[in-house]
Amino acid sequence: MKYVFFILVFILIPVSFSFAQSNLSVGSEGLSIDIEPTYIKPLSKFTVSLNDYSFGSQVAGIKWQINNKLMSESANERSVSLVSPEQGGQMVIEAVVELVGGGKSVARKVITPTYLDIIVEPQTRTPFFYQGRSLPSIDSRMNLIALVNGTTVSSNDLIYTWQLNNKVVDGGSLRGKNTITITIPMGQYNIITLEVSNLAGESLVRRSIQVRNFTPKVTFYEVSSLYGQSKRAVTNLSLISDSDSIQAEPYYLDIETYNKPDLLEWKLGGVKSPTSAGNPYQITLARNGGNGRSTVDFHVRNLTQLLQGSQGSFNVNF
Amino acid sequence: MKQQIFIIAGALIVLILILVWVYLLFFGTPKSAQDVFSEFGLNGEVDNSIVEAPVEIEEVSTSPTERPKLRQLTTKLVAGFREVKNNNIPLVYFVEKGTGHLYSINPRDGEEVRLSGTTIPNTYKAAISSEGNFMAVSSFTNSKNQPLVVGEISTSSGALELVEGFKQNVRDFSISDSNELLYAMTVNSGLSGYAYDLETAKSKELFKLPFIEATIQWSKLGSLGSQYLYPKPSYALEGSLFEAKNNKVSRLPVDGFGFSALANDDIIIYSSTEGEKAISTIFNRETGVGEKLNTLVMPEKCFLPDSGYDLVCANESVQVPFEFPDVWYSGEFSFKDSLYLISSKELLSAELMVDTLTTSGRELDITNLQTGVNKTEIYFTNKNDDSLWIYEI
Repeated sequence: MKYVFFILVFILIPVSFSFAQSNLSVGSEGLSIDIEPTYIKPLSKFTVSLNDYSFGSQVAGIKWQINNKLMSESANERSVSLVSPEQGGQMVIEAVVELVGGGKSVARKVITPTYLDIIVEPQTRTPFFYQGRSLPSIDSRMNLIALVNGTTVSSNDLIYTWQLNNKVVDGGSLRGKNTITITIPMGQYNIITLEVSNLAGESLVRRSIQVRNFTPKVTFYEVSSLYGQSKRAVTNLSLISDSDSIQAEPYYLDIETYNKPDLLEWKLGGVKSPTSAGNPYQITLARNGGNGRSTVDFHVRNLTQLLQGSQGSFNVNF
Repeated sequence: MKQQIFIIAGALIVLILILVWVYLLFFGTPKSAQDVFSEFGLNGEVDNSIVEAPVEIEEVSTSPTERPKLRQLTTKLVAGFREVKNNNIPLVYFVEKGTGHLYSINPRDGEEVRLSGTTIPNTYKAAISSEGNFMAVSSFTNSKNQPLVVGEISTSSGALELVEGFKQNVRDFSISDSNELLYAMTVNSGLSGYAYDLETAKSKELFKLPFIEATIQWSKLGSLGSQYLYPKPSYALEGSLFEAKNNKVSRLPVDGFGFSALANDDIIIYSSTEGEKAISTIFNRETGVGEKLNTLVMPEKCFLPDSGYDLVCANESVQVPFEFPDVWYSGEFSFKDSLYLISSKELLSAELMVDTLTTSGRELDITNLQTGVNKTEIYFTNKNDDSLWIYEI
């Protein structure tokens, strides 16, 4: 009798184990986990949902497990809100589905949150003291730099597919091409899309950004021969001393237009004034007897691309 | 009997008084004015020396309690400054804008001494070592790549002895407490950061970035600390914070439009644009939780120690333009700041230290906040005119 019991135990254990394995099928056909948003940043909120639309069996209950820990408070919920792990971390999400009539099925998803930063560097003019970033204007050039963090794959082992307004840049995907230069087309704004894949062709992360086009604007600053250019913008100038130098700064003007403008002129009281040979963006105002009020105008423009230009003015009391 | 005695005594007294009066009338008239006024001399001597009217001396107290706590330290325009080590007595070194001359100023008595008269034309920005023996200066040009002059100040002549090899085009620089010159320059369409030991002349790379337009928060610990970097802010462009340490750059979990930040080991204070409003947040690095401030505090207007949860910030609660912070950088918008002590350890709190406009009568747009060695002085510059100020806590 004792031997019969041991024989039965040895026969039944493998049978029960194989039964359990067959019911815990991972990613059963028609059963999956959807994630919103599709690409997740570290430490960000996201939602997972059970997709059993085309699953053949009827679902009796759902249990959610995160990194093998049961989320008892989310039992029988079809979607759950979660916070992604830190950069470099992974999250294994499992939905254990209990079927009507017994048995279980499991859907699994592994999350590796990734940062994809698209850094925009417009090649337009701002003065040397300006601590902000320049902004793009039509027909100016702009560098786009992609930084992928949170993945162990180096940038040379990644494939970058850049799009500008839904048109692929440089003819297609390029390996290690994390930097591109574009020329800003006409329009109010541009949509830049980047998809990063690994060498196996698996999409790791995708992102779109919208960048507005700006019109160049002129701001004026006083210039001291000793202390250099002031950081305070001038709108109205009182000429206290005998003379004063003023620098015009055409913010967001394309660098090439700034360096070689087709048109650059100063007007004092509506009359064209000669420009300085050394620095055409600077004018020296000198008191020439009497007093009063006048307007100083400045105009710079690329005559081939008329939107690459700007004009501005300020009042001077002397 | 008694009545007769009284009458006789009274008559005698009246007679004596009449005789005295008659004598004085004919013989008692003074011969000169000196007979009228007494002359008091030593041992009866006459003192003819001129006695001058006493000079009224207005007492000027030098006790620190009677100096204005908030005051401008120098009338010179300042390119860079630092409180240097001086036996626990505050002593500030500063470099004059335009000339590059180095001065020391004692904040207590205001004594100003020129230490180096070597002229560096068009000086725009300067950094000074913690002991005041080295300085680095950049000059204004029409380009963002600026020539850098690094020198050691001769204790005998006051001349600046140049350290060769620093005429490259440098984007930004600082000098750490450990006498390391920290600087960033453009290399192959990117930005590379280096630490140059001013004592040993050894150099090492700190970081390499694929973008150029970066704002860098240099560590006071030099190459041993973390350098924090983010793309230069604009309200129309997105930015995020990176930490460079041990030659490795990692992304920190804070970002946004109009993004600027200040970080230490414990917290990150950052401002960004949410909708059309600029907001500030303090992010606790240990808990991973960010808490929004109810007013805009620019990280560029704060001082944050290497560790800890308290910071000193300048702030004015005012509606900022939609194009903020761009218009502040371009000088089209400015603040009238007050100084606050912000604590973020547990409950977020802010305490007003001084309302600078009411106290000084000047509109101070505060930048470059630093505390002194003893933590009893706060120094800053006014962005409007590059003047140097002190506030004694």
